[in-house]
Amino acid sequence: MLEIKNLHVQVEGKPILRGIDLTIESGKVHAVMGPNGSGKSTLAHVLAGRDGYEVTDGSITYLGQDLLDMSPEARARAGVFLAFQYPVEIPGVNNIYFLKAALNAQRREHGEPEVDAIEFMQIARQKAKLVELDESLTKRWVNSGFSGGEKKRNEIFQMAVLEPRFAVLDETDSGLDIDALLIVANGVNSLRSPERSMLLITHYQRLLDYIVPDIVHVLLDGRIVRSGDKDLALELEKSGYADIRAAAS
Amino acid sequence: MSKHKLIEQLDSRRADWPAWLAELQTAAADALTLTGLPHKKVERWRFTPLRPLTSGEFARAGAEPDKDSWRRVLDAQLGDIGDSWIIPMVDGVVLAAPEPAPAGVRVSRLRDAVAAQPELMEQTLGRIAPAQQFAALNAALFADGLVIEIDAGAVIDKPIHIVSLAAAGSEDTVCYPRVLVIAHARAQVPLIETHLAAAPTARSLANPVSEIAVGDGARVDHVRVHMGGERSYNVGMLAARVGRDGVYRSRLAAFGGTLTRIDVQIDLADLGAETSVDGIYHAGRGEHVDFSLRIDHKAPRCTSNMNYRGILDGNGEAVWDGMTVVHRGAQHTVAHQQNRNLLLSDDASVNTKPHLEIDTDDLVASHGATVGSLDDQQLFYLRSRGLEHDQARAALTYAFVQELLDGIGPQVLRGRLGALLRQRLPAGDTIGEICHE
Repeated sequence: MLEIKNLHVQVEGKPILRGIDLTIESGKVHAVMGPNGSGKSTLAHVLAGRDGYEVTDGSITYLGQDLLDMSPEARARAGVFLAFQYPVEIPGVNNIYFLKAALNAQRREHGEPEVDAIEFMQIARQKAKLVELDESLTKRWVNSGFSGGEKKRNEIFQMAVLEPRFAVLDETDSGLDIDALLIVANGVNSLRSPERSMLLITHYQRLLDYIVPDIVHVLLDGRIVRSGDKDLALELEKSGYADIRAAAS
Repeated sequence: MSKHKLIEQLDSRRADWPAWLAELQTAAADALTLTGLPHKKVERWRFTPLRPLTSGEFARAGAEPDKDSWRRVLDAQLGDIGDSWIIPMVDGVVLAAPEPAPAGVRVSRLRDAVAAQPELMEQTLGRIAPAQQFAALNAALFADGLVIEIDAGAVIDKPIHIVSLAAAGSEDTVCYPRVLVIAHARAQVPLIETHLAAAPTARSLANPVSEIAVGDGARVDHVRVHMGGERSYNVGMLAARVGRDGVYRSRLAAFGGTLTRIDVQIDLADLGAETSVDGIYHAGRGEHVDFSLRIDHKAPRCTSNMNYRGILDGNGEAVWDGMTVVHRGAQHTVAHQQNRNLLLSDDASVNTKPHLEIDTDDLVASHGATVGSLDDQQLFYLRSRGLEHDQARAALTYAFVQELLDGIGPQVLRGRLGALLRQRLPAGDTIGEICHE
């Protein structure tokens, strides 16, 4: 589904990612773990197409297409989704109308009929239940006045409505208490399918107790220094990043 | 029709008024003759491009008003705004209303009101809007006008809609529409005032002054819409005086115009008076919108809120000058001011100046202004969900004024104003689905 080769990325002239190689098969859930400053969020933003990141070398191929050549909206319509670490508040833009426009933009792209308001409300109601998002929140302005947990649930709600082929979840666990984490994790797990791949980006192993990955990668100083199965996350939790850093250098 | 400079028109005042009104007009004319019309060196007019008006020659419109044009222009420029009771004015001349006035509302031509109710008129007309600068030009030169009275205690549901049209002329024309609305004690009335210019082939200047008297315990919800056009100039004043525990809400929407300059003056004259003064504006290529607001707190326990937001595109210009004066003895005052501007282009510009003058020590007050561009994070968020770049920009631009638009009472009018704003935005036609009510 996704193939990252030798990816080098700079931000304001400073190298952040220094040769990432990562292949994600269809239906697989990969986790990228790493300490602060290792380049995790840069990877998430480059995948979604955020401005300000300069790719100096390497490639990203998504379903046979050159992802780096696509605008953020083209990526979204092709099924790429980023659940933001810090979802921005957008007062004045209605959460549900905006999401309907996003879904219909995607459907038009695929030559599918657009959903009307009634159909959309049915979809939205059903998906809101997945993350126990209060229906009143779905109708408010995007993320505006939402608590930290509500913002994260709104991200997964949007993901559920848009049904991406490839989702990047950037520190979706940060700022969540255990109850909210369980709700979000259940939502994400219910979206796992053989056609959908995910990349979980996280600082802590905790999230991976609830969303169990197929493969875990450790990102250090802009490089993947180790990959393994879910037990690698547990090992990291015990020994911290220092041992791996020592082994890698 | 003969053409004259504006200042020279002062010589052609009507002479057949009662003494008090003749004096009022003479005083306004004398003051203006002494000071001249404002120019760039006059405070609060520094950024207003007045030269085409002060140096140009204009024929006075209104001698033979076109009785049918207003409906056509209203339908073309504003469209259906829902149920309202319309009073048409063309070039300052009141035409017959299409329907009889609702119970509790009395409508007269100003000349008739002056004759029929000399005392009330003498106490009110020209006593709310200070006769200075362009408001003095109107005060000196209005030849008739519109008077609306709402009976004490009357609660009017259907909005009264004044449609003020500057009709098209084949040469440069000027008109001086004058409106006086008196809401007697405990009356409640929704008021809509629409200023239109019929796509003129020559320059068209409207110099309107509206005075609103809000009686004790009365409430006036006033929506004022300015639809500017090419070669259309509108320079005038809206003034209100609010009595004890009265409420005056002003909601203003100004869309373009070669020059739209509105002075808003509100007197909180007695205990517990309240006003909120909101506005949205848009100026694009070749357009200038300009607001000079002043609220006077003259009594204790009064509340005022000014909240204006504008969108500037192309080489559009906006000026916003908001002043709140809290007089000595006006204890327990609440006074807030805010002006925010969104620049969509490098060539657009804004001059904004919120300020407070305070002569009391017991108040809650704030003021602030911002000028900025669209937020990159918000833009990326919308695009990352699949919205086109232009569509995301339009949605965020519209969102910038959504909150103030939501404060406009009549729902159909609110919807129409939203649609008119979207028509002015780049890619505005792509966001109907995201921004509808």
